Amino acid sequence: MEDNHTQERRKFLQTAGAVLAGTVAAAGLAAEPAEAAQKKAPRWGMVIDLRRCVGCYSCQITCKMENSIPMVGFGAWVSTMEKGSYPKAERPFLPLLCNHCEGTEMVGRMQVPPCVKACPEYPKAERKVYLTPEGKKIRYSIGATYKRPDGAILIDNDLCIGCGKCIKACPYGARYFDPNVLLTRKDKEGKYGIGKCSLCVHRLDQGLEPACVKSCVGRSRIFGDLNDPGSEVSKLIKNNPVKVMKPDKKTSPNVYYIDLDDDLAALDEQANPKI
Amino acid sequence: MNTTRRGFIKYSSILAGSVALSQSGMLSLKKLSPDEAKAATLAMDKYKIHYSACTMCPAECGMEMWVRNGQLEKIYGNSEVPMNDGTCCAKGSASQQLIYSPYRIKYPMKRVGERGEGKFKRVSWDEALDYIGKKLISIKKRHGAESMIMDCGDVTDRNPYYRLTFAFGSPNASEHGSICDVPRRHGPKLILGGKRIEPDLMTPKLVRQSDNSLKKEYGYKNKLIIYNGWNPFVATRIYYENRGTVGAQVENDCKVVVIDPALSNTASKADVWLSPRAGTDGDLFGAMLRYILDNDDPKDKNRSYIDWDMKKYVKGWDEFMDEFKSWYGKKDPINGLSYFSIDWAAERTGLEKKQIEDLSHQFGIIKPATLVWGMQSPGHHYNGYCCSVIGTVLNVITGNFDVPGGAIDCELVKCNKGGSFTGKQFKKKKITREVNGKEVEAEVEHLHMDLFGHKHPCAWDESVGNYPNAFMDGVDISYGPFRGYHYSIKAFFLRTGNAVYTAGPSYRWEDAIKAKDANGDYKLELMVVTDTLALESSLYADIILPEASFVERQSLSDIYPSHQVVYNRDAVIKPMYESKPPFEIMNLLAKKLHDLGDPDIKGEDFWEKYDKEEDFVDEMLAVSPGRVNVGRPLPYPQYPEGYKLYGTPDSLESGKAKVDDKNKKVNGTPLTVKWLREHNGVAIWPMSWYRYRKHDADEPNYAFPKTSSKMIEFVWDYEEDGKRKGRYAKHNKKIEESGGDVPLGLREIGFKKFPKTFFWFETKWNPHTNPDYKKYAKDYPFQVIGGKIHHSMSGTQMIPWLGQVKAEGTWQPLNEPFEAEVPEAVPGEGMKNMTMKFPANSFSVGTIMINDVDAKDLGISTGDLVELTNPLGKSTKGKIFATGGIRPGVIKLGFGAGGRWAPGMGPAYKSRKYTPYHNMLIDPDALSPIMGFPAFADMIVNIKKV
Repeated sequence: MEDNHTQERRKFLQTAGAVLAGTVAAAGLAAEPAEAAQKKAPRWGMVIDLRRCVGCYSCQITCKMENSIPMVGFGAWVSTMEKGSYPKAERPFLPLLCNHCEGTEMVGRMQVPPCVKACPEYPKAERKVYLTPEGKKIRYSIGATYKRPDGAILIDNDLCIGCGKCIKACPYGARYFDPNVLLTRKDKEGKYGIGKCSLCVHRLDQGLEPACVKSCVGRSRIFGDLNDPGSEVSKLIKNNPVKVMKPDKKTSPNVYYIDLDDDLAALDEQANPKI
Repeated sequence: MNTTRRGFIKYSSILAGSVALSQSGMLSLKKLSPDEAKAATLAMDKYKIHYSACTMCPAECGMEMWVRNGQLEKIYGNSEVPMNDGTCCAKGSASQQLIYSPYRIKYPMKRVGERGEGKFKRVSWDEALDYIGKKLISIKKRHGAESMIMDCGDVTDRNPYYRLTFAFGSPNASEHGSICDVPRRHGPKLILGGKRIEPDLMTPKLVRQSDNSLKKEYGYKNKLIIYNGWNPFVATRIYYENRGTVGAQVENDCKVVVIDPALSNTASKADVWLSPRAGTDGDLFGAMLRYILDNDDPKDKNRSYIDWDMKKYVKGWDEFMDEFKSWYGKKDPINGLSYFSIDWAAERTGLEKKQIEDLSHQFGIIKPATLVWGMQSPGHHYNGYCCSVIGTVLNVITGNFDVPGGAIDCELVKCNKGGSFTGKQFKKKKITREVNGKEVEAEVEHLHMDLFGHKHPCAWDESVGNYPNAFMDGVDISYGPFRGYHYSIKAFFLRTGNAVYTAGPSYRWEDAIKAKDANGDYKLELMVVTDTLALESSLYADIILPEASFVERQSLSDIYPSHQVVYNRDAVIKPMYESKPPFEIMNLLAKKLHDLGDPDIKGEDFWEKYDKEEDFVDEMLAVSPGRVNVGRPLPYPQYPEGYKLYGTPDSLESGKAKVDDKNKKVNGTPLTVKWLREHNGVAIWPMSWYRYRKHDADEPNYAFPKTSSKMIEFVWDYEEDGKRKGRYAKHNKKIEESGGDVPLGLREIGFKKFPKTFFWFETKWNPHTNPDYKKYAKDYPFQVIGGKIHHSMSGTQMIPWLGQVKAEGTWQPLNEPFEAEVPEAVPGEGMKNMTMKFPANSFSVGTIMINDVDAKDLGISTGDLVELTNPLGKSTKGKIFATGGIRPGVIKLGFGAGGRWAPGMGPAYKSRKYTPYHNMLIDPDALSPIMGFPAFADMIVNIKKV
């Protein structure tokens, strides 16, 4: 291994770029004009193609590794069940994560999901800037829980008071108190910070896919820009019947499923402790 | 057979071929703002990336390991390695919890109590090596070097230990392969000189194009895959079968059939799940072969099963088929039916006749297809040899062998490595022994306890299951120049294995290790365990040595790809505590033996020759890839067909490699660790198919496969041009030269010699197929099968993250409350050891999978504790998991997933009293007759609620 980190980094990106070139060639797809896709902020989303899920739990563990998730919490998890009787038995699998919902409720001019709506520490006066791929600046409000212009639902434990309202508000059980994150605000109500799937934005911002997608053993998790009609996720959604979790909750999730087992979805197995 | 997937909906496969590629790279086009770039640099750029190879399971995937401040912080799959193509499973991702586990062996230890008590004191490395060295030298003087066995339980990185053993003068070294699915590998070995037949599913494959360029090819050509007793989604040895199997289904409409008494995870994704009785795999294959032979009609498109062109590449077709068909006329004593008929197979397997006929027809007619048989079945049955022979023949005669989308014997096409570093040359040393009053001189290798012993003289993978008997009774050499010689086994060196727990029932091992002579001294004078973890076997050791974990040592991957691929296992972090890598342990022990006066160990073979780990790895790579230039498209059209290739991919590609016509070799620049490190850790040479044919003519190339005739051999002891040929020939010669002394194993099944062609015998402890056991059927109504649990090999059972997953019916959150020290991930601090409380039913433990109707009949339900008892009076306890996903009358236990009595197992130790120990139930004397392999999967039990 070279000692020069910069060189490693460059090589890393070059490798990734080379793979992209291979994609176009192997699939015989014409390259999409890049500008079309990059006019606005990306809207990151995921398609979980359950035809390809091998039930290995790699996403669950990879997430723990990538994000130092405590024993008691899960950023990604897998639900399964024993279904039917011999010899017609089945064992479906259902990988889950925060749906990074679009939301249908408004806070100010922002359309937000229930968790953000429930956060008493949102929005804060301070605003941040998101830079789109073509360089356009988008200002957005932050809070203890907030939505980034690319759709990622994020947390800022420096702003959090530990009230747990977001945990209760999430219909998917995607949030937990992290016993290894102690809150710092003097006026905090609880001791522990919040943990959840961050969509691996630290990786996204490096040009890398989320860790659970990278590791996915059956290539079941497919990630990309829902705003780009040429993306893998957009094409899969367009060409296949897809479902989302709990459509009745009207959260407008950005995670889609192909070949979802309805019985297993109805089980509503939530790995994070309920409060 | 209805091949419409259960619950399967037809979706667009417009994206076929591209899905696998699009994961990486797409996002890298994003421009970063200066702020974001700065933050990202802070977050990510302090990492140093190493390319390495995993050992959390034997798949040994290519890894990308990110290290910061000397700590391993992130683990991903290496995208340049086609074995895993950038993916990483749960075990691999959880490696940190093993590497930073509080349960690691930290220092050398010396036993202070009795063997098995687990009382040790910390000693220095020198003290430990001095003790071992003095004992070994004394044993060698009194009993000969051969009385030392080196058992490298782990295949991985075993070579330094083998080298030391052979140089010391013992031919007795073994590894994991000897207690892992030996009968499964037998058919391919006899017929092809190979080992493992797997579907052509690895992607990407590097393939020569018509314009002479090399391209990574994605996509699948497979149309039918039959996995018999093979569960690649859980037993991940052939890792690419995960994404490959579902990829072929989605992208190429490939049908997948899984034959397994239990609904494995692989079966849960199959188009068809067939669940026969346990131990009837060979019966099913036999019926498939007979159906195909009887019903083949080349003129009828719908019955054109056999690729008659294959006869050109096969030796002994007629002999094999004649012998097979001769069984049609015999009546099976258990059911009075004609062998291999559909009726016969239905009676024995418990499958419907229609299911067997459909399966046979589909396998015959759908091409390309692959018939795969697995580790558990027939790998672990007494008669699994018969099944693996028929399975290999089925793949060959249907024209599926080594065709695109068909059946590849990965052993034949994997990258060669090892070379002179393995130390095989030391076994050629001449020694003398006094045999029946006469001085006999011959090579060390003729003292091999199995290959020349009286039990299993063709056990080319050693019979580790027989070791306890050898500790007790010694070794009788019945064949070869030392015929008549007897020696004792006095030293047992166990490295990263757990033979006491895994290589047969523990009681037999304990008895042998603890046996004392008349003076009250242990008969086995020395037992050394070298490992990273303190498993059961270490409790019996006199000395325990801490071996560096797989991220702290250097070596090479050992994998089964579709073409030659090899990658570096780099030392990613420094060895922790006082642990040392195998290479250093080899050198230190060699030096110690030398200093203590061992005349056979020389500095020039060890510490003077190998200064650093790279030195020996470079020597191992000198023979890579070491495979012949054959197949279509020809990997290197610039070099002669059939010549053996050596050197880096780029040096061969350049066309400047030297052609050695005399030895039929092409010599490029030798591959080195340095080259690998400069190329993402991996070397890949081109793929080809039809590797047994000439590239430009439909004729044998006589360069592939690896049999004595370089053709596909359906006969294993024959004469040609005055020469004795075939895989069994030299073993039968040994028997003949002994005057016809029949080996013990063959005597058990009534054979006088190793068979020339097709053979058949029954398995043990199966009341449905072997009349000897019919009488037990009523009192012991359940057949026991076992299988690997994805997340619970010894190393992974200790990992708390993997205690939070479920696997099939044999690894379920049915724990009782416990407290244990575990590594916990703390943001910004890495792994911190903490004592945690685990409430009931929050942590997975080994369980007993049972059919839910059977459970109801027994009045038990999920979570109930039961006792399983076999006809030998041995029993084990565990909690049941009742499900519709298993055939009635069969129960399944996880291998290695229960009754763990080593405190070093951490959380798994806490559940030892209510988790089942599979090996307790197996018959210690059922060692399969040809290779002496434990019949792990042949047993019956009754079940009682506790």
